[in-house]
Amino acid sequence: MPDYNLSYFYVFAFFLVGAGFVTGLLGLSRFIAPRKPSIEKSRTYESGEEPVGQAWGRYPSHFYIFALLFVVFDVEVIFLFPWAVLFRSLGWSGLIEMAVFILILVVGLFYAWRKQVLRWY
Amino acid sequence: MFDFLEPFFFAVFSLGIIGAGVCVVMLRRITAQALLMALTFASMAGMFLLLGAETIALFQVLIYVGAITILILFGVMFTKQDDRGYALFFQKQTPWAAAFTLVIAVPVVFLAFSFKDAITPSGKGGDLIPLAGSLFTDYAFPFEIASVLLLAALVGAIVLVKRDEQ
Repeated sequence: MPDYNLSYFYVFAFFLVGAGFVTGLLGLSRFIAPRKPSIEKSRTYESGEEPVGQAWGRYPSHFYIFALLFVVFDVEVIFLFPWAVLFRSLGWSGLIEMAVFILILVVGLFYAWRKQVLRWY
Repeated sequence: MFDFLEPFFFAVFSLGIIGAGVCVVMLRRITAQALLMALTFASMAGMFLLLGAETIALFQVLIYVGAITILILFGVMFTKQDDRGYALFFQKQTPWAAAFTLVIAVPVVFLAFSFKDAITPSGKGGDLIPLAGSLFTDYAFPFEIASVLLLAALVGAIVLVKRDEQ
């Protein structure tokens, strides 16, 4: 067991404390709160209005492109982390490598822009 | 003194991966399935930590637990509720799925027994600095190809969405 794993033991401890806090408080409220369910109370909340239709609504598939764009540029940002750590020692070659990497993806962003998928409507 | 911790956490993460994975396949509530898949991803991040690949573990959390789960939840938002009857359709694929799983599982099991020991990072910066060093020198070309792969995914997604709207 290397020492470094022990430092992640604190991460696990945080996780345990967080999970315990949430379950403890929710369990406490379930234990001490009065429960008198009625039809009005258990109805789906829709801003105080009478709910219309089902809670499971479908969204236009147009919005999916924003999620996909997010994933693509999330992966791009991931590669910036190791690059930033070695930024000085890599020198110009590292800068050019990252410039090429980002330029290729900017082409995709430009394509998305020209295809008008970035418009939020 | 802490020798019992590594097998213990291995068991916890294995339970997380296998248990949540089985629930993803068996449950019928799609939002719960998506969140359980996030638990599978998080447990795999824990496995990477045990192997000493802490950078990969954090990337796993950022991309899979963060982004991919959001993507799946977005996908749930676009599906019709009454489409769920079609879930039975996939049951016909069970023998094929079993054969495919075997084809993948057998080499993995052999690889697992040939695995000696994890190389644990030492010193300041963990494994991020050696990883970055090899990524930007030895593997510079695959790194650039990764951006082409991302570009292909991006363009493909745009083409699919634009075709649906027409």
